[in-house]
Amino acid sequence: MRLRSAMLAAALAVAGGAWAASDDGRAFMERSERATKSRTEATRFRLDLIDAQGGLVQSREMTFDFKKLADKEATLVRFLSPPALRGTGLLIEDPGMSASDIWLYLPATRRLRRINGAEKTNWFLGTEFAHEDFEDYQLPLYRFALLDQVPCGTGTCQRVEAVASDPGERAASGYSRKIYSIDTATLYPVGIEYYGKRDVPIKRFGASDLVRQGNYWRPQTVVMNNLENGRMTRLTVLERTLDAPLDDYRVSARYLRAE
Amino acid sequence: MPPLTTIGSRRATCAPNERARRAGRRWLAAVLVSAAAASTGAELGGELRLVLDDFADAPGSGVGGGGWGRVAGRGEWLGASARVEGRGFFADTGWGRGGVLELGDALLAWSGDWGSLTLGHQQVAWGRADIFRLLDQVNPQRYPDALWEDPADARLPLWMANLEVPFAGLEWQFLAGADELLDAGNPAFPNSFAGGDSDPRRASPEGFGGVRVGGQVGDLSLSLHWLEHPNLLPLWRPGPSGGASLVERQARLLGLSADWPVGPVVLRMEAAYTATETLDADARIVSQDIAQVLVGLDWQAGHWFASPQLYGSMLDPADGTTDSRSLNYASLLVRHRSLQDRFEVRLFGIWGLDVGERWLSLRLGYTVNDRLELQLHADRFAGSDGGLLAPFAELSRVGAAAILRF
Repeated sequence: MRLRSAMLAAALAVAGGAWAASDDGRAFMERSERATKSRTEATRFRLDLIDAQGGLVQSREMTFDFKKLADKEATLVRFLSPPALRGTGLLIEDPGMSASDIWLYLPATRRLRRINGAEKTNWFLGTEFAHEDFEDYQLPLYRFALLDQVPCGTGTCQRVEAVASDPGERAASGYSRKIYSIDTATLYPVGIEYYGKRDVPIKRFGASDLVRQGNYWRPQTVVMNNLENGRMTRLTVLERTLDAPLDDYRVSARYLRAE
Repeated sequence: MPPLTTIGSRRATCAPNERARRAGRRWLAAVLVSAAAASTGAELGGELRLVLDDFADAPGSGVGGGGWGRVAGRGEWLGASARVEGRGFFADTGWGRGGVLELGDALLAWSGDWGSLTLGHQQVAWGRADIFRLLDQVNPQRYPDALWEDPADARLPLWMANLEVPFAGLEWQFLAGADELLDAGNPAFPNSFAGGDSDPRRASPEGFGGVRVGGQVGDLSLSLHWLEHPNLLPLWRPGPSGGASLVERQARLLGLSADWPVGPVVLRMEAAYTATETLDADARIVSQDIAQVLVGLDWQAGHWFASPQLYGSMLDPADGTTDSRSLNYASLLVRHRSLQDRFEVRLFGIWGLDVGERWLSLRLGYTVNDRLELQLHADRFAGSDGGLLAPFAELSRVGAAAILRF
């Protein structure tokens, strides 16, 4: 799944957390999405880029604002530090189709530049996240199959395989399939294995330190490991609000340009 | 002192002493407001850039260099976000030496779902074309900085009100302001302005205004632009007495910008029609129309980014005194980032398709840590009369820069 639902958006309604074994994969993922997705989310992160030797390359601070709008979901990412990146931002407008609208703002040019949302495999500003990792489950575009249950953390995770069923999504994605590990108690996706086009694991996502915040569970730390080059991106939550009023402006191109 | 040239009621230059006084006032204002911002706990940031260059075509040894700096304060005031910036540079190139201290941004911005209102000294960037300046006409620019520095550093902020409101599914932007700035030159480089004056200005601030409306039709993103009294381009031209005349190009800009994702790329297009006034060889005021079109595409894949562009302009003297003239160019930008974005290679080239001009530029950047970046750069201009690069007839630059951000 993607950054938003994996680490930010999703959360959980543990209520009824006991998942019925008869649910199929799609129904299970729908329940996970309902349980974990807030209407709005505003988070401030510290982002650490870590090289293959485990050394810290750079620490960044960023805000991550998400809102469900009438016709789409919008996510706005903006860097607060280091100084070279301050003001750089990305707006992702996801209408629920295979291609999102992506706009990049660079303070050095003061221009918004459109990035082709169909090119989902692009890396996000030096991190191990690709643009598509910011999308949610994209339920209409994937076929989900329940796999086994495995121990994870102090509980149990249901593993779910997701394969793109939509031809456009299949062509645009850099992955042949993804295997989610959904914590059965919280319905939060605490792990994702990404398989490349040659069907070998290429990235691994992990969410840890889940805490209850209002109606939702959220991780305090998430990591994306690149299995091909050994690098890692780690996000640590500094501040977060869920379902609080958030102006549409905060997820707009105008806000992106306002630095 | 450069010659004074009048077009209509506009006197397009003023005395150097007066200019110096104005620059001093702007800088003083920047310092005072920055100090006030600092005293209120506003966030301060900035940048210092030290450059060492070798200019093979410059007189003397050709060794040059300089420094560029900026300090900015941000905070909240009167319910608005406030930003004030002072900036300046000094350069020595072999052709000349000189520096500028100036006020950068100094603005208050109120924003919300209703829209945004920004008042003060500010930049407005229209269009997305690399280098070719079809729509990016709201603010004057400094040359040759506009070619090899970041656009935000080359634009000269103007005093204006900038209102942006969403209405009827469209994004509307209204601009109104007044300023005396014109396109400027870096005083350390040869320039194409009258009398070699690197800082030509109007004698007094004059008004301008514009509207931009943008929206989305399916996947197509579209915007329309109108600008009255857009930025003036003071150009050097041999006058009737053999001297130099200041030539104003201005009046009205009508423009269109569109981009459209197709397959793995984003196609983009800009078109601009500019009605201008200028002087002919007999110093008579004549009208001319300039039509410009640019088609480009942006392709990003993994760590690679490539952006080719085709540009064409047609200059059509409205009074029929001279033949119409067209200029056509191709350009290519290629960028690659690696080592978790620490290392960047940027290659840019322009080729004149009918005047034989070219410009090749290579820049390598390495981010040492959160504050320090090192760059190597090389540029080779080969301009020719009548072309866009004519001011740089033959200009080569090889150098290094250290950029410290805080």
